[in-house]
Amino acid sequence: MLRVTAHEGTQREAEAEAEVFCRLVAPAIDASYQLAGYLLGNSADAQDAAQDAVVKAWTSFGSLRDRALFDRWFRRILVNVCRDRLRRRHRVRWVPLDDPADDPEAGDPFALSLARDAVGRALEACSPDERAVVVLHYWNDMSTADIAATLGVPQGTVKFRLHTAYAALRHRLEAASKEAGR
Amino acid sequence: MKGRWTDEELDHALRLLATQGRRPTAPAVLRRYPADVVARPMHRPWLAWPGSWRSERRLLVALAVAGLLLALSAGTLLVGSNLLERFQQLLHDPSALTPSGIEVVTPDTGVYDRVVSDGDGNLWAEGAGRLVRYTPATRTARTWTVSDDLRFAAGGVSNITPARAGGVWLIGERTLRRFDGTGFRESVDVGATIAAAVEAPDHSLWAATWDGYLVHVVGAALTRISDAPLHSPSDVSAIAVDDAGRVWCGWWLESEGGIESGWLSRYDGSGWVNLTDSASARLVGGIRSITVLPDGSMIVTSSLGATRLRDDSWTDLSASRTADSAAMAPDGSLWIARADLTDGPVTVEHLIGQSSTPFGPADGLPGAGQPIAMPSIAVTKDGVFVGTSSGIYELGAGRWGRVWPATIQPGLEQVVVAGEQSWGSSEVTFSSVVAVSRDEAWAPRWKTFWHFSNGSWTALQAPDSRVAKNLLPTADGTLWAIVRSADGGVGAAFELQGNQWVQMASAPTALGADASGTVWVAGADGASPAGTIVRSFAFDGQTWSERFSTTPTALVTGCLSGVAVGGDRSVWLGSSGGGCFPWQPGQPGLARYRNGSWELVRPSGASATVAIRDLVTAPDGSVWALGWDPSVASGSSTLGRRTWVARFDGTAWTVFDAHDGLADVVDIALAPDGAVWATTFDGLARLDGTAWTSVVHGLPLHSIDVAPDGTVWVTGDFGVARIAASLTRR
Repeated sequence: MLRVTAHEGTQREAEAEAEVFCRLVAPAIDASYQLAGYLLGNSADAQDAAQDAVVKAWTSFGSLRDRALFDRWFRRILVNVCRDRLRRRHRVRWVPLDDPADDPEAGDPFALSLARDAVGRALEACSPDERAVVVLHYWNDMSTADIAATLGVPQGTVKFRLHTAYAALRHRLEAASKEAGR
Repeated sequence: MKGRWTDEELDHALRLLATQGRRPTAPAVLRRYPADVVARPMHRPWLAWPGSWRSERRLLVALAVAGLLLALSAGTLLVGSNLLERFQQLLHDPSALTPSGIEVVTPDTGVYDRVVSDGDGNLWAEGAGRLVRYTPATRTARTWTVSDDLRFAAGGVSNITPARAGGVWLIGERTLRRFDGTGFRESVDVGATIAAAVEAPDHSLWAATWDGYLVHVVGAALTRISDAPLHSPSDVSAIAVDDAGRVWCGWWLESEGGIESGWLSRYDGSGWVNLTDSASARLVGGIRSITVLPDGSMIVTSSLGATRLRDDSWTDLSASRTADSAAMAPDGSLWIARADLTDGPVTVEHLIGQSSTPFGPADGLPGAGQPIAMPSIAVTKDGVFVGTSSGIYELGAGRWGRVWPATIQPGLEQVVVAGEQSWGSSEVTFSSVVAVSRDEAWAPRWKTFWHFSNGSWTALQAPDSRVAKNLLPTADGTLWAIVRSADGGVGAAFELQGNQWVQMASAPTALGADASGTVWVAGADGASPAGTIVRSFAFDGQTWSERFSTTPTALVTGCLSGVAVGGDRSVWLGSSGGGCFPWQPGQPGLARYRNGSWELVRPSGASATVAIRDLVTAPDGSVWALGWDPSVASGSSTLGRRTWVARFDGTAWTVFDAHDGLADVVDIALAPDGAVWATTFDGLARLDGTAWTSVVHGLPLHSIDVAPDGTVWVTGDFGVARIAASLTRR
């Protein structure tokens, strides 16, 4: 017989903590999925990133002193997870295992939404930091001050990243325009 | 395309893109994820160093891990692999939940007729392929399925009983496992199939087993008591232990005429006392439950009523009516629940002294027409609850209301099926699954074809209110359906045109398609009822029309299980037997139509008697057959007999059976990559060339199908599930 002894008091506290965590994170799932989707450009990566964020948030939930700030705290974790994933994309070249004709993003709601517009397609030209600022500003309708608080950077940095994002977008759009004109 | 972009224009374009962009909702699996995460054991850092030391800590931890790995590698080289294995065993937490990769997608059907309360005021219920913990104080619920861990396998869990250390004991086929809401804390293998089990006040466990023993588990020691007066060991229906440590066992026997009888006996540590004759006339009915009350008395419920034993005297509480379950409230009043065995309404009786207050469907309890199942009642500090086959109900302000599940999708309630409903199997299950993609599948259930698409289910009624048997979506969007009459009689093939089912063939019972998209149906020939005919239908871009039909044959009749077309255009027909069940010895099961004539076929190397459960054609034109040998008459289940899977490549047969590591196959399906998938009594296996690989182990599965995108869908006692890509990837 296998017998594992549990410390009942600790266990009940853990259960209560888990309930609080679930109650706080549940309303944020949709918004997190959408934010990750537009940051990463597809649903599969968005799901993975949201799951990673949930795990990270849960493992460090004890460090969150003011539970009222959960939304902002969780969003920061999510954005950091997404930025890490975007950075890894630049380092790692993924080779599709399936038939290359099978586009895994065909029918993807985020990919479709971005692909229908030249500006959406040009977002790929932005760095992970720039893209995070653009998506938070436009898709999450956040002010530069709110973005600064979420990312934990000065407001001036946010404005600068927005400015350089515009430059990257402009460069990509004008290059595409020239390509189309040939 | 625009040439120059100002900041203002970019700002406007981005704002437009963001406001007009889609806002997809998160998939259900992501919504459930936080609950899954918190259910896992939390791995906190084992060193709480100051924050400023964080980078040093990371470096040191990395160095420590690297050093450990080096030491392990060296140790492994020195003393072989045993050390590494033992270290891995030490690292593995056996109590932790291990997500199985079986993604159950079936909505909650609400069958929760087994409800118990724990010491913390939680309510636990088992059924509907789920384990539920409902906390009345916060009105919150948490559910677990085989997705969370295979140890929740519905087929392996027959009941639950409260655990004094917290949570519940899941009573499996041979195993008792204590689950406390976060993990499996204890596990006991009693060594035989368990009929009933309970935890005693001294925390030891008692189990009545089908081989006729009463088993006492204390710590790691098992004592088997062999002198139990077991009239029929498998029919021990209730067990309880009183405060004095005496074990009470109740039996429930049912004759073929439906007459119930029962026995009540007590084991006091040295011998048995038969109480049936001396105690109360009520006890000769089949015993449903034995409940030890907080005041030391006990209530026995049976098919003839409820009886209370207090101070060595018996009192009839409720005469001439079946009583299923009883509980005592903190104020000393008693609650008794019962269900009408003819049409299912649930009633509850509240006994205060000599007065009785009845509750029934008029008070909010499930009414007539409900599936027949024994309700169970539980009283917590927060209220009175009754578990039924239509959900968990709570009494509040004189009325009962369902607290779980919050909603049951219309049509997915359990249905009463005359002649098919039996104790212990109160659910009408999904008879098969048809995989379309990772996000889409069809599953016939009773008189409905259920369609799962992008996270939600919709119902398509079978034509003529007949029983949905099989479905085939074709490339042009047409649905072909096979239905049968409710009494199991002749079937029919229908094609869905718009919203109308159009009958295409009168009495077919098997359906298939070849590589060109031509649909093949097989069934009794209207002109010669003794014969079977196979017809094909092709789509010309506008309509489906019959293209070909075989000559009728009397070689293969009865329950047709499959029709397939080989690469050489030969037509294959499989039958599971002459009278469907039981098997008629001598009935052929597999035939081939070639050059205008039929011939019986037996795969070389297969058993002498051939019964076919499934027939499929591979993309290379080879034909695969799943068969079993009904002449191996061991056990009562036809499927449990020796099974085999055979491939005919046009010239020769290759047969795989138990000798190749594949036993008790239930269904097969072919994947686009050429792999053959099989569901078995033990789980899921894949044939890669010549070897079977077990992909899921320990979960009985029923039907299987593989979508063109490679997603594997299965059915089981839990309902319908898809297999995570991580498990099916080669």
